[in-house]
Amino acid sequence: MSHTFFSRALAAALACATLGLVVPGRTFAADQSPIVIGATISQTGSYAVDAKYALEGYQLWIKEQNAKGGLLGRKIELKTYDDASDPATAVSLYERLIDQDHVDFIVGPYSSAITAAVANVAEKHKMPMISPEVSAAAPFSRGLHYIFMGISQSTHYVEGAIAIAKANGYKRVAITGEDSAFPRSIAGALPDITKAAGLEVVYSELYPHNASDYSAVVAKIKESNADALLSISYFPDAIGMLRALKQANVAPKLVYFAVGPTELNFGKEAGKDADGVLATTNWSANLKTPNNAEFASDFSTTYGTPADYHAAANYASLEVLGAAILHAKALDQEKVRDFMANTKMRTVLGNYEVDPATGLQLGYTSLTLQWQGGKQYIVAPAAMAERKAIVPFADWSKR
Amino acid sequence: MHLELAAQLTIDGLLLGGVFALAALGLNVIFGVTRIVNLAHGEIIVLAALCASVAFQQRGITPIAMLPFAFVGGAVLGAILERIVFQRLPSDPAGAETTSLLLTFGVAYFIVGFSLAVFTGDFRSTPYLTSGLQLGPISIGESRLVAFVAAIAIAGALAVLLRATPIGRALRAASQNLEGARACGIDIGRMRTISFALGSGVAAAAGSLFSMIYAVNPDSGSQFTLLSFSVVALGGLGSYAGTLLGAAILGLAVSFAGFFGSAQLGQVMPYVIFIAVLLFRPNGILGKGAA
Repeated sequence: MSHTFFSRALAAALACATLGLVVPGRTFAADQSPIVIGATISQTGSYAVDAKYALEGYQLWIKEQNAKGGLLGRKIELKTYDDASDPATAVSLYERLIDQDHVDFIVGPYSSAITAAVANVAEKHKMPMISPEVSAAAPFSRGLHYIFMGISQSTHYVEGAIAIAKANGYKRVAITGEDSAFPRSIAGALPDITKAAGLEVVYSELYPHNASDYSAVVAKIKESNADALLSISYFPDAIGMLRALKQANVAPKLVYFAVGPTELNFGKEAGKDADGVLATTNWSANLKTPNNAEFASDFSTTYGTPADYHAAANYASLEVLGAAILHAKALDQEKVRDFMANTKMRTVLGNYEVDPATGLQLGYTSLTLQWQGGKQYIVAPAAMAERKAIVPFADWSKR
Repeated sequence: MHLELAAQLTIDGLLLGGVFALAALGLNVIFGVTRIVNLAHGEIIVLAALCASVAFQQRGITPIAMLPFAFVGGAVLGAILERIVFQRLPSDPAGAETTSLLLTFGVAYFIVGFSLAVFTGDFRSTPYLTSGLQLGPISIGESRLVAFVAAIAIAGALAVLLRATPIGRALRAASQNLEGARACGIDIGRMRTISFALGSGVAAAAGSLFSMIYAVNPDSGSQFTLLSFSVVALGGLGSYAGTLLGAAILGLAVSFAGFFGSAQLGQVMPYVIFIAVLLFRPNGILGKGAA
């Protein structure tokens, strides 16, 4: 009997001691431990190249902010996993970040397709997720309340190229691109946009991811006698399409490849064939936005390569999250959500403003750039243009 | 359909067939002797393409000048892989099949990781011979023409090697009857090493030329493995003439289906044909043991 009593007393004493130690210990730790922000990034798989910039954008902001003392007196830490460019993997990793790693906030992954999948996880856990790498409108029409678009809407991407086509009287438009979420979101909206501009779509067809050949698509573009080619392409397919055009000796008067040629190494891998190609970016080191010049120079010194729009968009999204946390004065998911939904603020990317009901981006715009003499120049919109667009796209025999 | 278009699509299809054949020949060499389906085949192609692109952009060495280096480099890599890794497979071909798939899959991952570490994830390509030759209304892509000629030359060289040289005869003996060849004093282990070296060398030569056609990064390998496998299965495992024929059929199918059907249909044609062949002619068009 006394034995039982003794062990119970001991257990109770131990429990008290443990609680007494641990409870204040936890409170103590919560004040000093870093604020953890979780995300997945495609470090392998087909998105790996661009996603590297996205990750570095996140990392740079956190590094700079920590140098300034962090947020609410606490350091900030980024916890990331590699989603292997796969939406299903990303979904389970976000669950892990929230359920097992207990991160304080989440931010968006790379690509529209993966963000669309992960948005449901954010919604389920009621954690606001600002997403710098989703430009497709589709995830924002599902009645979700916790996801915010941190980059220009993809339907704005082609506006510059269409304006150039219209100004030069290029009426016949061929539309193509990779058959995946982001290109489809643009290509799907193009018939309306081109019609509004008074242009005629004479060919429209998407090609599959990792296509082994583009000559059949080019043969159809040739048959359609299009003046302008709007191809919503990533890097490898932009190179593939450009080569197929050249080998078939087909030179539409305007050639636009969406985001493939936005990457700086397009000029190196495509060589002189890049000249005249139009593309879209959402950011330039020359933009007169707050802190932009410092961001651009810090990025190149830290990572040894110039920043691109992915890096800028991810950096800008953390600017918004940081402002939201400061505004909430606590790690309060609802207050942060409301701030993201309703605030208007300037970031390195431009004017952040979303539709409070859907989270769709309204403030940020797109820039159209053109390869000229082996370099990229902004050619539209006119207010931000560094050079005039050179059209028509030179005939292959005259290069 | 007007005649020019038909001619253009036919030429595009045949040239694409040359590209497919070039990709597939090396896979077939290795399978012919060892019965190993090398799932790291595409990764070797891509590794060579990345090397060729860097050689061109940093040293100005053209992919055609790179060919001998690519072949030797690929052959050495293949021989080393066989000596270190594949030699440990059970010698009984039937028992080795599953193990060899897992093993070559693992080697593929290893090469991807290695390439990522060395070349980063950037897409690379060689802007060389990107023009089209104009023959009246028909245009012929220069780089594809090179790949087409190379495919025929390599298939021819392989045929001569296998039929007219002692090593070739020994390789053929090993591929036809392992026990019989061993009983005749043929060193089977050596034959396997040679076939891996030969197959990997051909794959690397192909990759060097592919850098003029495709933009690749270290993750692009599996698409070439899949494509090569459907070409080889169509033409018949172990048959080089079959590989050329199978590749030509696939190239034409992609070209015509891509134009008259859709780009999607063009892309799936190799696999549709692949499934049809498996169903109706499992040994391939010119495969050994075909009726």
